Amino acid sequence: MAMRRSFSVLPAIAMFSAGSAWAAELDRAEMRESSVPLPSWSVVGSVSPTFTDNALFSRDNRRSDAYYEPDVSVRLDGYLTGDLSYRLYARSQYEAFAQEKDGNFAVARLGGRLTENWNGWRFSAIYENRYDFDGVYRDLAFTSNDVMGSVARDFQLNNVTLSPLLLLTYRFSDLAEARRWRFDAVLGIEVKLDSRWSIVSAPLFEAYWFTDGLNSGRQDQLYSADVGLKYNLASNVSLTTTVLYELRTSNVPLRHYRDLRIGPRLDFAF
Amino acid sequence: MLVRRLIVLSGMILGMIAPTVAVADPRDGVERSQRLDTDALRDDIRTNRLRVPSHPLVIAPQPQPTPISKGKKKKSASGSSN
Repeated sequence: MAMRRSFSVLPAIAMFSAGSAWAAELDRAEMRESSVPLPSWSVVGSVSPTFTDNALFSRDNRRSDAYYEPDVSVRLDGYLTGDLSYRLYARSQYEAFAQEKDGNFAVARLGGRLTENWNGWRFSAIYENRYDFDGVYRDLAFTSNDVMGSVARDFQLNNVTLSPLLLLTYRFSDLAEARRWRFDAVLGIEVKLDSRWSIVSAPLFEAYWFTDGLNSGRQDQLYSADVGLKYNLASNVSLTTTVLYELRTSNVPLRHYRDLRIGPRLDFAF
Repeated sequence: MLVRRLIVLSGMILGMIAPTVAVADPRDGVERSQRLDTDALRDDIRTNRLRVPSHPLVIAPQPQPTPISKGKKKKSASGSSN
């Protein structure tokens, strides 16, 4: 049933894509005159082997392990006007643990995003239809529809780039325990050392308010800090080795945990 | 007497285990999903800094009829009559 619903989304995306392409063909001459870029597609992602000292993110049952996490998106980007852009995407992401197979999990997403640029600020509205699986795409655990709004901007100060992001999400889901509000505040920091090397960090705060099921009334707060050394192999490929510390607090004491992660990560965009 | 104690003891153990399993089941997926979502956000921040090569979706233009000279046209017409 859930898969059938996923397939029902695909024709809609195909129609949207076809419509965009048709519009692009009709208006190509006008778009060139008005310098609005043509729609473009890309494959963007990250792959990483990571060591964690808390594979099951448990308060009491701490187990160290290594896991592999690919996160790959296929995107279609285009502009509706000079300031209003859209993105359609399909995204696959999973975690596969070496020992703690119970921790394996996968997500498939189909989404659309509208972004308005206003004086350097980017305001986005995002809709995401997603499928969460136990194991690496083994059993469908639940399906959800995420509605998100975000605001972001990049600030350039000499060799330092600051990229603050605020994001608010509500998740509608067929699993009551998964329904929740989520707030994110992230500050992406990059300090360029030279043309290839940078020091990067992305301190992050998240707050969750669960609204239904066994999780009703649960409130989590997640704090994380990391520092990494990035090497740009090319303008569209980079390798980053990161040390990350994460701490979660909750009004449900069992949901507290802390986690230390270390590992290299290859980011690419083609 | 010993059998009754064993039954009570095993009942107590099962009683302690059962709620743990019941509580853990529906929320485990939510926990793991949460972790992947946070990682996805971190991935976005890193990949946003990459410069994506351009792959514009260029629609192939309609094939234009090639200009044909008068002489060639005559030749073609004669060819088609064969």
